[in-house]
Amino acid sequence: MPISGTRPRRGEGRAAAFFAAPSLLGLTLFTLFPVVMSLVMAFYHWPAVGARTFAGLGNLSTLFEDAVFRRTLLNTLLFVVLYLPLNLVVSLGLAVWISPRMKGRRALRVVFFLPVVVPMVANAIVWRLIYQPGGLIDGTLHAATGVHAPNFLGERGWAMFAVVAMSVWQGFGYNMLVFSAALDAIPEHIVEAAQLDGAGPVRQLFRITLPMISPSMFFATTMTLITSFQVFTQPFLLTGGGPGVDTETLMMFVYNQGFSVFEFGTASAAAWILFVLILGVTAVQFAGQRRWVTYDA
Amino acid sequence: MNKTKPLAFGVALMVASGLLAGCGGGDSSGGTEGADGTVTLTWSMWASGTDDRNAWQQVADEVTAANPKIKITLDTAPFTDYFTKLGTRLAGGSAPCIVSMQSLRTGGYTGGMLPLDDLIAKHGFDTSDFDKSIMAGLASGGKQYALPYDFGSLVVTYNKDMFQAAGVAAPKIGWTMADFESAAKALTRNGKYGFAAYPVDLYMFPMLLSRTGAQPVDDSGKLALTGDPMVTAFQWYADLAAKEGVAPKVPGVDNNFPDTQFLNGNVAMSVNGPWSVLSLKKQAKFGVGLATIPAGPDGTKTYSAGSGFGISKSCAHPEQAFTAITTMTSAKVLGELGALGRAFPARAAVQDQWYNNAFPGAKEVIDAANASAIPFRTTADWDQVTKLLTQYGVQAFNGQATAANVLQQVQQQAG
Repeated sequence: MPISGTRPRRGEGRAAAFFAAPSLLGLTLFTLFPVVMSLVMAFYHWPAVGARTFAGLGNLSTLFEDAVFRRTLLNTLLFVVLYLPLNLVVSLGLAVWISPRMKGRRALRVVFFLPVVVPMVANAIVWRLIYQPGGLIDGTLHAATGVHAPNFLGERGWAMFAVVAMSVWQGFGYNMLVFSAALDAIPEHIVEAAQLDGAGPVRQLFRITLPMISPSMFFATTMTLITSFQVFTQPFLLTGGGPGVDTETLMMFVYNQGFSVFEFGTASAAAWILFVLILGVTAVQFAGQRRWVTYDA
Repeated sequence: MNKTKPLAFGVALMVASGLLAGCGGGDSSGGTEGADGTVTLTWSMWASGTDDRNAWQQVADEVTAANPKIKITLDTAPFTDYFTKLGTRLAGGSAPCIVSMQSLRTGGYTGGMLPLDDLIAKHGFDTSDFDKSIMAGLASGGKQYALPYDFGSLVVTYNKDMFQAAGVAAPKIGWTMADFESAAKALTRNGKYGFAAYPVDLYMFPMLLSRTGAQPVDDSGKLALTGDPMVTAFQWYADLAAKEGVAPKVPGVDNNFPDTQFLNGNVAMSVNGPWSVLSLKKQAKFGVGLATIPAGPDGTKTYSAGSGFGISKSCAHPEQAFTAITTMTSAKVLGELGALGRAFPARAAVQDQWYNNAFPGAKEVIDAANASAIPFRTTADWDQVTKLLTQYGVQAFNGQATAANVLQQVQQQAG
């Protein structure tokens, strides 16, 4: 290692380049090139087969004139607005609940984390059986009261909530584990000090626990927000975007444009709109973290 | 440091240009040639399970047995994913040499497929034994894009046990819409239903055609969903579930819905093609019967559809590929596929092999259906139309939207 102040010896740069080359090459091949390529495609009329022509901002204006695209944008926002708070409340609530030295705590943690590990396709099949007419909910309700449950996946007004419910069930375990680890890391002496000072459980939660785990909450919120903007698998498997386009999300729109209509240009443009959207929201979150995230323990 | 910059830049440039070339080119995809002149061709096919895959692998082996210098590598995907994969591979210039094609979708993929007319003429290949309607179905714009291996007219499959238990007379050739409706009503009891109604092309449109003569695509090849006979017919079909309650509610988008409902014994009747009749018979734990599509005011009507094998434009060995597809559609191979029940042979000469494994009465029903069938006309973006129909159609089947409304939406987005 060069001592600070001395110039690096000649030849070291070359060696450094040699060692960095594999990862640089990988980065160029598999990250930079596809990213740049998709940006280029976003400005082209790019059909699967046939001539590619420069479209300028044409793809963007096509998208914003398209009622279906605008609807999928709204659907995505609706999903995020419903999913994010639900996910955080459920995961935080359960993490707090299993936080004290309770019996069977480890087993509960595993049980709650299980849906995250089980493949989504298997989850979707089971939830289909729960939701469908004559399925678990409908069957039980009909047997008990004689009334039929709504057709959750096939009826407007129900489908999106059905998708959100399944997503929360399958996704909360990850955040719960994050919160659970953060709660365990709160130093005992701080809690004790608060108790000696006469803080009740509610005051402890809001004055000690939540501020102490705020970095984890920031991490969980940011990551969950990003993944929920990209939601695809749950609606794709449960409803196929239907009924109509009520549950079609932005990511599904990109997929359909690309792999069903084979218009790679508009698909890339839509993907970049999604990227900008996520970037913007994440930037706002980072800007806002100073107000509520405490890093000094 | 300065020295390494041009080098790194050069490497990046080389990599990028290599990738670009790979992206745009690809004129030698789907096949390789060995030193001894043996050509290996890739063949892409849809298959729904190991049995299915093995049957197609046997077809691939037959090609090598008949032509030792041609080897086939088979890759398969489920039917619904097959066309997504194919479109992507055609776009990437990495299409398989031998492409399997369904008559309904031929128009959408002609851009990536090789017209076979010149090869047929050059080899003096005789196509007269193939069924005319399916040859037409695999052609587009006056050019032949694939040689057919199977075809068939849509028919009604019914659960014999459920008919017997309900005391309803089994449907016969030439039975009417009134017969169908009263049977469906009588069979709907104890939580079971008479019929499976679902908005997917091959299952739905034959019923609409027979009911009012409505066709989804007009004579000029344009999507025509919003006209009147179509709206009336679609409303009637959707109301089987929404109003009459003789068909189960549709739980969102699930293209296997009619088949699973039928096999589970949850519905007594569904529409299906001869290509799946024998496998339904094998899987079903009840007696399966066949009937024609119920006759509307102008008699029974149905559609015919089928599939075949073509060659992709990017194939480097079209001659060998042509030899391969002629073997794959030869009387010998089609006879074997027919005997297995994988396909209702597109060659009239070997259709007996299918009938031998079918059930009594099947031949009469299939013959009657074929006599009343017209080719299913589609548009180039039929995949998209199908997807939209199932996505929006569900609302009509749940009574949340009218037929006019649903068809308007699909027409607007796809037409």
